Amino acid sequence: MIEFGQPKEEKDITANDPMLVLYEACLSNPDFSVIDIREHEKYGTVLIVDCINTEIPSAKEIRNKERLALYYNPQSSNKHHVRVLRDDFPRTIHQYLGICVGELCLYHDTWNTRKRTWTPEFHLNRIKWWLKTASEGKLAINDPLLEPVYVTGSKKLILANSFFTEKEDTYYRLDEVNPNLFKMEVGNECDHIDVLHFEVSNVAHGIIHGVTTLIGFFGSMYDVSDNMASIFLNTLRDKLSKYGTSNENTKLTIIIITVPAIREAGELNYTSNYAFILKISAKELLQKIELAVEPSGDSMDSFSVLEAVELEAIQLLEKPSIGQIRLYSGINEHNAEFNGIVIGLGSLGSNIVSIWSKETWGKWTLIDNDYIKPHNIARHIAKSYNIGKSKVSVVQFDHYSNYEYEDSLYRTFEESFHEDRVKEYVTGLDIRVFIDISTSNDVPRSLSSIELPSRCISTFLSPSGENSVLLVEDSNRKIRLDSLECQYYRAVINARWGNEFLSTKNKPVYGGCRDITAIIPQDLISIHSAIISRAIRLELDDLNARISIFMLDNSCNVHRHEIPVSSCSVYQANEWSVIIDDGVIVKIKKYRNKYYPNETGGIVLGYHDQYTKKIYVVDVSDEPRDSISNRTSFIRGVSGLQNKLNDVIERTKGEVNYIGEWHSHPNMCSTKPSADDQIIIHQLKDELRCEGIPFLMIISNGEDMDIIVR
Amino acid sequence: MAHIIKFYPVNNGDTTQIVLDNGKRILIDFDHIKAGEKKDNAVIDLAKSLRDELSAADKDYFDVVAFTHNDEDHIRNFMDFFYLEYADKYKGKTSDGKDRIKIKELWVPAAIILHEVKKDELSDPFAILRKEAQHRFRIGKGIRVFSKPDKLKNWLEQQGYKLEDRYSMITNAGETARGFTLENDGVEFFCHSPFSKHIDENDTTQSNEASLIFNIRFRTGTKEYNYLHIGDTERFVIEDIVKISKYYRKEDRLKWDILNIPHHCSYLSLSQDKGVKITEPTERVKDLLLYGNRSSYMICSSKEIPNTKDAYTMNCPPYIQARNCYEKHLDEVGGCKFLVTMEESDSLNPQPIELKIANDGISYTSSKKKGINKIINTYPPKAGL
Repeated sequence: MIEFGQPKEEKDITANDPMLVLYEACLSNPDFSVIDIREHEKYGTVLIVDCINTEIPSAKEIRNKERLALYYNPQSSNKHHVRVLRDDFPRTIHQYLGICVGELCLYHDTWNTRKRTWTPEFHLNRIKWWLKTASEGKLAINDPLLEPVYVTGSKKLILANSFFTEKEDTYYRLDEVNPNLFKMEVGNECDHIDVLHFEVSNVAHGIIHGVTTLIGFFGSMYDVSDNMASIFLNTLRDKLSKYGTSNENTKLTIIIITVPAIREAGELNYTSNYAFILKISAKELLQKIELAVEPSGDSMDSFSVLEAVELEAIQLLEKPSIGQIRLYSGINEHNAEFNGIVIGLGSLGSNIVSIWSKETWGKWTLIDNDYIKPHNIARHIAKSYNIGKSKVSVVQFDHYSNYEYEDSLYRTFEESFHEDRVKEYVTGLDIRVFIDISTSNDVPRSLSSIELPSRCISTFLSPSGENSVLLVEDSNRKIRLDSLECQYYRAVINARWGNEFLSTKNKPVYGGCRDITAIIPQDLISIHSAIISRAIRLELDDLNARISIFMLDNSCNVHRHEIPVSSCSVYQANEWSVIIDDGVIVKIKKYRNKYYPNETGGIVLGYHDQYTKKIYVVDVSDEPRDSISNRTSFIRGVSGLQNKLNDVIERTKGEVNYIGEWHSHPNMCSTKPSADDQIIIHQLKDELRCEGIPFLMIISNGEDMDIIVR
Repeated sequence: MAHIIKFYPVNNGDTTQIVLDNGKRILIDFDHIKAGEKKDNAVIDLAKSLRDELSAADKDYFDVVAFTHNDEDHIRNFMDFFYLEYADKYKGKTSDGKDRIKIKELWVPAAIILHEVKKDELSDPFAILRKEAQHRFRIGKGIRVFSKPDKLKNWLEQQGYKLEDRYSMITNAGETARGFTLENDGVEFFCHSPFSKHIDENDTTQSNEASLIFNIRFRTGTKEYNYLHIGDTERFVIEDIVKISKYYRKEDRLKWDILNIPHHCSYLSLSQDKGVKITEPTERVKDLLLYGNRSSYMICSSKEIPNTKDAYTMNCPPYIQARNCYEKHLDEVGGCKFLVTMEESDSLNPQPIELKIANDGISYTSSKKKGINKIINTYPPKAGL
């Protein structure tokens, strides 16, 4: 066995050690036995465990019992790590071979996303799943979340953007963008790497203007007898001298002249740019000018040599003012001047912001930590030459490129959104809205849990890309994104359209363990970017909370469904905050009245946020047909429940699941759990332990409600 | 392509079925417990379960039914399930109106035929089994008898038959049973016990020491796997087996990938002393335990064996001290898991432990419902005011 970490004398694990929960989960999981507790100089506590998985056939290379090291690395993006300790453990895919042999690559997402659903029990099951699936050699084939062969490459090389269009004798050099990222750039003879390639090239030209000779151009600007003309000529000569070695075959030179326009003395009003093509090479032009000023006599007379130099002016169109742009776009200037924050500049985010940029609607602070990878070009607004650049800088530059107003530059934060950084994000700005387009559950939940100067909006596409969702908080933030998410899921569970809403049409494709791309064509991104950007722009003045669903049908019609929004409450139960909205409470009352005076009940559906210790109640079921009830007792039946739950899990792609039970008490009676209720709470709490989740019980007497979490 | 071995949850009893990949079925012992017919009980309704399986395979018979010995927990209620040829009474419908299941070949140790029956025991299950075995042996059809003690020869002669005429129906210790070969069926049954001396030197009512013990060797593709089926056996029989196998250089018959824990985890199969925390096996028993292969399994057909304080003071099997001993040795050979039939069964839907033997080894997928799946399929206790 591989030695991992050092022996530890004290075998106890302190209360604040992140390994404690995992240790406890191992103790209560019959398939994991803790063999030793060790200490690693870098990672702290290491659990040495034996993991039994009887589903692995006994003659497989990966064994039905394997010794593993479990440890926690706060510095890594994965946090919880697993290493196999058997010397001859086979090399399979999804091990971090390059960094640390035998470390299992268990998750495709980042800890930020995973931390909300991660439980130590889930982690242990994931390890068993990994070992079994790897033993079958199926890690990638049957699991849509993981990619084919993963040969660690933490270092990456990006080809020069112009690599395929540059001349064959172009020199390239290699730049280190960061220790893990290299970029090929055009270099020179002294500093280059050897590259071979084959190419075809093309030629472009500009627009032709009125002036036709260089002397004519000077004439249009200066009186050639003026000293200013002489000074200008000298400057031109200096600039040209660096082209002394220019290619013999070059017959053209481009001159761009920036002319400041001054209306009143000392005040720069604007600058104008003029561009010209000279039909001689830079070297030739230099020679002519040298002749003109050489050697003695009146240089001004020698201007005549320039008379033969033909030139063509290229027209540079003046760009419109912001006011004009808004006029063209029909944007009300009154509503367009505000500051907002966009979190997540992926394909949907970049396309939405790009639309607002064209419309000059809002001024956006952009937050995203990712950079453009080659496959992003398929749907992001980025172009090939942006590969390797940060997504925020690409969107910022896209905006700048539209009209080139320096002062309208978007502010950018090249980092993951973090609630502790909000102060920095909003510094000096009066923020009107936070818009989450991160397509994660982390950002909207974070936004929901903190106080912010303005309301939040979250929007995302369904996995097929055919549908989109828009969650809008009310302006007072009484109903926050996380409760809206709950209510959205209730609609997915109950609405007719919810049946296929989240279904995936195509299997995703992979660029790496953490680089998974759904198959969605650009047309869908464009349709939904347009709809969402318009809906947000037109409805931002509405102060109410809103849940909107946009669904594209096979005939390219878009259908909008508005889901009624209920106000929500938070109950504190032990360490957990339970978020429940009036929609659920009304449903409980409705079922209660249906069976009154008998008691009734059913199961509670929802999900947990393990990171913030919140339980989200999404829905409650009616009593199953085989339930037994009278005026003071209720035994919940089982008829149809498995099918119902399977349907809920299928519709919500596993987000919503069973979280507990509810039942009614008679009118005017206490909602506190009775002695019978205590028994059921105790029993079901024990049963749920293997899932790593607490048990929730709702008791309603028609007027009041009590929520118990154990 | 896989063979299946099923170990049914029948408390401290035994029922094992082997389903070969060619469809042949071998049932070893039959313990139908009436309690298993009721709901919310982890004991299986064995008769129904076997009947359903056969029906799904469109069969009304087992190719072999082997009774390792005639203790109650190995034959319970068999006469209300099987078609017995010796009497019309057992050819009609069962008490619940079902057709009886036929036995193509009945396997018994010689002791079952020779078992002495007192007058007041004539309608006891073991006496009925004895009659069926005797009948089949007499007519020389549908029977295999294990071991050939002198007492068997005497009994045959008393009935007016010659032992020589029955040789083809007898398998001695150290031989493989006729009818199954690795080439044709992917399985062979090597008989470790009983030895003739077990019967000749003992009172024929002491069935445990004369019970059937097999090395059952499976072949799937290019690989072979060994299942040691021990049944209810005390330690000196195991010691004899180790000693004799070594003497005859048959150590390969001691190797096991699956070990069926003898006598519902009684410490007496390991040692005379239970031990406080753990039973210390005798040297030869330990020897056998260490013949286990890497990634192997131990299967204990018994009630649950919790590791609680009270468990250490119990005075009937299964014993936690014995389990600790087995698990320690399983660990030593790099084995996988000690599985207990009643721990693996689910009161919602009692199921046997089903080991799959394929070319890539032995595997087991638990069918037990846990957590949310269990809750929503179970009536919770009564709630309400």
